[in-house]
Amino acid sequence: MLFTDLIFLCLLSVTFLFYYIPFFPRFQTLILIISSLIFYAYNQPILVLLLLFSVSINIVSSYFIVYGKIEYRKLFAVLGVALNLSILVFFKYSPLLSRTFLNPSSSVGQFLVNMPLPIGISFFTFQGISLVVDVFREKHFKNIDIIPVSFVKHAERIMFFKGFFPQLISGPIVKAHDFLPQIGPKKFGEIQWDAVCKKLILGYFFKMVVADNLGTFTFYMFYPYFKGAASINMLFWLIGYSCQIFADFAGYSSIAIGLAKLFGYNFKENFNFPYVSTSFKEFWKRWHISLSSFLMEYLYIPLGGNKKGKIRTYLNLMLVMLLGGLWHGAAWSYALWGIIHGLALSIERALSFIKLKETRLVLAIKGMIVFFTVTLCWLFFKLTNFSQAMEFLGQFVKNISHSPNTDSIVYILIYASPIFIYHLFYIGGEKFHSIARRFGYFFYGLMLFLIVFNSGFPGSFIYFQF
Amino acid sequence: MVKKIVVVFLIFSIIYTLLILIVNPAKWSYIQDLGQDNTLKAQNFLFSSKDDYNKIIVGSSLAERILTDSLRQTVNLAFGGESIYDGIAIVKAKKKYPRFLLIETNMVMRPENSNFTSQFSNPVLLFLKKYVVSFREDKKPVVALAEGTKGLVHQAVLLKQKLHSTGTNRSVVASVNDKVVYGGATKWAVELNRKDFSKLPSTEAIDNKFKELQQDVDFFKKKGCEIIFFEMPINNTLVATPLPVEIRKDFLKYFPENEYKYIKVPENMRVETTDGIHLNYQDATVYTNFLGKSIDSITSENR
Repeated sequence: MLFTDLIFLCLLSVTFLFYYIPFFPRFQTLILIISSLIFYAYNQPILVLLLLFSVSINIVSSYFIVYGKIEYRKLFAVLGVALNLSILVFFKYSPLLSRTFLNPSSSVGQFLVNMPLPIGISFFTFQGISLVVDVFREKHFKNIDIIPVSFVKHAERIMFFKGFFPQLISGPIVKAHDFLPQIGPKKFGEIQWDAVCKKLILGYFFKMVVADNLGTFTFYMFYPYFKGAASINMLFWLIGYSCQIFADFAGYSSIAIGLAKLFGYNFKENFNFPYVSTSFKEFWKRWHISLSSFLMEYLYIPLGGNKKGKIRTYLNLMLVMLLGGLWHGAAWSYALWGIIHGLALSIERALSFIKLKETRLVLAIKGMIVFFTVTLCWLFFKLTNFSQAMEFLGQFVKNISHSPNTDSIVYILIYASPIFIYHLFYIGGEKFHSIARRFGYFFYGLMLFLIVFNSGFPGSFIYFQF
Repeated sequence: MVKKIVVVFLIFSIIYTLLILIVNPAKWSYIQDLGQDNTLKAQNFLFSSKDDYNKIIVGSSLAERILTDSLRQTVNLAFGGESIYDGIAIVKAKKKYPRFLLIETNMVMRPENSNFTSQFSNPVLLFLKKYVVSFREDKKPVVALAEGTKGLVHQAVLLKQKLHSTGTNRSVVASVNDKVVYGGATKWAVELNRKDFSKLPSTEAIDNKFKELQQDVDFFKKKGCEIIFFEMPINNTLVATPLPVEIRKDFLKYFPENEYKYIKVPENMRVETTDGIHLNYQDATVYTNFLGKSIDSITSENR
């Protein structure tokens, strides 16, 4: 089920109605759990069993970390993390490992290659890991405040934490210490309507107007359609895809945040104007914040971060980005994407001794370098077949003298412009901010008009595949 | 804030709808891409009050090349990038069935695109698009704006090329961009199609697909439609590749010639294609004439 489907709006309306009916405050969590299971089961009902299995691992492991025998705490934590990862590896990476190491025509190879990828598995697995680690570390909260003695109550809370539909299939990756303390009765009168409305309009605008329309033009990046195209067209496709992937995912996150607010829950921002970044480090503090902060907190720092010498720091960076790349998808192109980002972060760190005066020109040049590197790297997201991505680059270099197709360029510029304007409002300073504050309603009204009258061909959210 | 947003939205919506009505809805028609073109084609069919057709063609981009101007009382519901099942779903949505349903055989294995057809099963959207003209596919405001901008860009390109002209007439570049950009593509595209046609789907997949088609055919037969299968001509070096051969064989197995009408490509027909499977304009005209005559001869038999 997509946030853009009519059936979703029906489910949302019914859920909302029951959720805030005065007779049901005790059942609010249960209502959201049922609604979330319907949401998840809509396309592939059988996969609900996997979700329930994954949740049950976290319910049991987190409960026994707190209430089990003290000497087994670590064992439950390790088992909890290992089982979470095993599910992810089995369902997500079996086809890749099978294609790489096994004979794909053998019966085992065939079975593994055809393994269905459960939607949202990467997201809810990471949430499960965050729960087990947070409870084991007891760094952010006191376990007795968060994990009730009643196993049934605990199971309900954890089911809700992992299954809450706004974040279930495409994030943001909500961490246990951010979400669990929020669980409790919510009142209709406490809904922040302005914030909900803004988040939903911006999210749907990004998805339905920007991403879906750009998608019809960046489609030609796929093999073999790019063959013979002019380099200038290929450059605009890349820029268009860079804006599309931002609009798609930031749009999804914004809708998810808006929907959660509608039910009284707050998710942290997942994007913070990433294309204004003037360094790769800054980019990763602004792009898919819930993933980068997860990797930082649960992988980079436990690996030693930057506290164990220069070489180890670079190795940690490379490893984290490599795994971050593979988290996105079971293809070696994602690994390459991660390695390039890891290299960029390492090189940037190695060159940090060079101190340039941060004039506007220097910042603009640094910003352009980051934007175009990031944009070029998205090619490995679009073309997950490595040889096709290389052929794209080969054609890009070769076809410089070809005459461009101006139609495609004009449309990409038009549909990408909201993304640039959006970022411009951020870097424009107080003057732009005051315009946004004073005339915000006008921009949101205009976006709503375009959602209704100018939506593109509906497509799945790009991050669903991850 | 929420109230203000709604007011702005309503003002924009009303002004835009009035603008279209004042300018003339028929003239205010802009398309940006293939998907939109397909949707518009389906909408025009579904919302048209002229139901004087008695033949409907369903197919992929191969049959989309058929020029229905010269075929009497015929609607072409073949869509670029889509399949026969999409056309069939749209005919079912209209619930007015033709006397003859012409089904392209070439791309029978391509599945229905539910993203595309679900647009026509949503009663709320269908109602809005039918009765509020500004909701139609070809009335998108940004596309209208883009068409205007494109005009300016094209003019600028033409002007620049005129200024830098070295005697060679390059001023037609903007209007024939696609040909220039993709001009050398034919050979690799033919080879790519040859590669695709050399792979056979599993027997189970083929059986399932033909059973699905069998159900659709039975449905239309119950509604009084006569089914005519036709094959679109392709590059002669691809005709005998494994997939087309298998598909021809399976059609005859599931839909025997003594029960169903077929329009086969004459053995001596040689066609020019852009990529091995899509006819160029000239040969699309030639094939349309052939198809028209074949249909006439079948339909006259059934009178």
